[in-house]
Amino acid sequence: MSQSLSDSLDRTAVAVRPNKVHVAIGAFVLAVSVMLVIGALLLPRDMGYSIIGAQAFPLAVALLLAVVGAGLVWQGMTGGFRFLPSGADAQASPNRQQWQGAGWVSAGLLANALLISQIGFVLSSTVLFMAAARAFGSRSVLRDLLLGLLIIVPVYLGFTKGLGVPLPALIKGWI
Amino acid sequence: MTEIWMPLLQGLGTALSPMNLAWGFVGCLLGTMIGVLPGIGSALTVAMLLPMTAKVEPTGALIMFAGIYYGAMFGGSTTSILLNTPGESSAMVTAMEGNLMAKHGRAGPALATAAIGSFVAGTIATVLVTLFAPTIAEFALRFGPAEYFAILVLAFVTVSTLLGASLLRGLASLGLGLMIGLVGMDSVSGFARYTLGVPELIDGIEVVLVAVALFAVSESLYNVLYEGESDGSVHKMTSVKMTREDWKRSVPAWIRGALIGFPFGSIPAGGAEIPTFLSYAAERKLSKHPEEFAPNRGQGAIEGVAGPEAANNASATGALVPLLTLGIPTSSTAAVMLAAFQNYNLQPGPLLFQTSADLVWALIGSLFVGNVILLVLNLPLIRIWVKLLRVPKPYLYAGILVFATIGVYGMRQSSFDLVLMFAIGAFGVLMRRYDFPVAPVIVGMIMGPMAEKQLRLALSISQGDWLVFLKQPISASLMVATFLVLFVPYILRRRGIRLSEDD
Repeated sequence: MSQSLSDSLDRTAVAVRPNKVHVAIGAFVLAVSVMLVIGALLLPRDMGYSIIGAQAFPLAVALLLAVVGAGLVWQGMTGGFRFLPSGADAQASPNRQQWQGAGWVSAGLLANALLISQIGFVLSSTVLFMAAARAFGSRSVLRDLLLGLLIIVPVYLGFTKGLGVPLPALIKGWI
Repeated sequence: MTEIWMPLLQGLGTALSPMNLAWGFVGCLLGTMIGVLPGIGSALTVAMLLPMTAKVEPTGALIMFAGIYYGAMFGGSTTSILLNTPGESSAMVTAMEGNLMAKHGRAGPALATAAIGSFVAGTIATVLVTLFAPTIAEFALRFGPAEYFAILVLAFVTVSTLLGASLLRGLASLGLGLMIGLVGMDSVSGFARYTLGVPELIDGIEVVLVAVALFAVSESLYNVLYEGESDGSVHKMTSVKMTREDWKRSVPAWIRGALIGFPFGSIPAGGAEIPTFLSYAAERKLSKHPEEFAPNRGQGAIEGVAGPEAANNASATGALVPLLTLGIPTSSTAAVMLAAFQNYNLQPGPLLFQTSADLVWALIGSLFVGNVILLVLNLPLIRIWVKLLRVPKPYLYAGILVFATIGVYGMRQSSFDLVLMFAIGAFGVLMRRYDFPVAPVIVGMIMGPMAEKQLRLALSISQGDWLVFLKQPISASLMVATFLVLFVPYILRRRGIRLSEDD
């Protein structure tokens, strides 16, 4: 009797086991909501005549996020988010190689952000191009470089000369 | 009638001027070229190509945009059929049924019915836009801030319910979008809000930046992290000739699809996948060959491609009705288009039909022309587009990322924007991983400031009476509709109207 009772208790416990990541996501949304409230309260008082000031709408958004965050936490506590695509839970976490790939993409994007005003659009985009190609499995550095330039130079000319979109030229001060 | 005919003819004339025709062609070509690349939806295509139009005069630019929009949709269906990688949820049905046809050696007819169906549905939908938009705009002129606010709230809710699997996660995305929309200087009080002291944030965060970050950057990062080696098998192209039987089965499906798709696009309700599912269900019921459909393990039914593809196109065109008449974007593509309008200091809405009538009509005219361009351009060139499917993944994503930076950097020449793009893109990976839809972020970002403005106006007119939204009949019924939308999906779900679960 007691055996079967604890069995069924176990089973319900399994069914409603909290999903820690999902709870954390809900908590994050709640934290964002609190942040919005703090930000709204720190705003200076509106001096002019207005029925609702600059705080009202942020507070409404904070309220929405608070309700949603609480709902997500609740779902996380009771077995995880609902209506997830099948297999989402079973999704393997990325392996070493995939993390390295993500590292290359990130490095390429950040390098581009830092370099674009220094070494110009063509060169910094080529750096990004090569890093991204490497991330997705290309192992031929020279080919990536040539192909990158082959694509980026005409694009650069097309945008700057053809369409008048200002993109930084070569190395600062050269042109 | 004449008040529609005259401006429409003028609009067609503008669209057909050699320069604008050229922009239309360029748009269609580029849109198809980018849209056909695997995993790129039309919203991303439009966002990436937005900077191209920065220095073109507005009419030409919007015509080019219409071309890009149509081209991207067509390109997307090509990819869905040959690769089974839908770039967005509205292409899911086409991907399922069309890919099945391609698997059984009928790729050509599947592509043809998709292309001609898009043309037919696009044209029908454009006719309906022409007929309805001016009337709706005139009606909308009578809307006050309370009505506007109610419409926006309705759109918020529908967009976040319909663009994802879960209402809660959809609303979370919407909330994040609204929050991003808050960043920057408040237009009424002049206070800088949520800028954390960063001067670059005082002007707010650009919609295009967030769109490109969430679609392109996070797509690349997600792909490198979670997708294994793709098998890369592209189905063999076959002749695009449709048999007499194919035509007989396609034509009614196109028309039904168009009529199902248009209303869904034109109500501020977002989510083109609903009409595609409905059209698919209808075709499956009405077909004389139900055994050919994918859920019955058949060989792929041509109606199952023709109907949903037409519905998808008609709803995309229908989305221009709320965009042009109310200034409300109901899809992420429409949201990016709205950003394009705003770049030219044009505020879509009922007044647009009066202040920039010639531009609106030129745009509508170019929709007709764009449809034709698409048909004459893409069916003959289809073999070239198919070659693009074989671009190796490293160069595909490298190219996408380079274009993403052009788009973002070209707007303000700011390195800060590029770092922000990376950060938002990385955040987008988490959203994707846990199935938070990204489209409501964009919609919230665009509509949040609009909603705030209308809310403030409505409350100052009503002297702070919050009941104003329930006192006026139009806004009250919109509020009721909002509550219905919040609960109807649950009822539908209980009744089992979900496509993916049973097959």
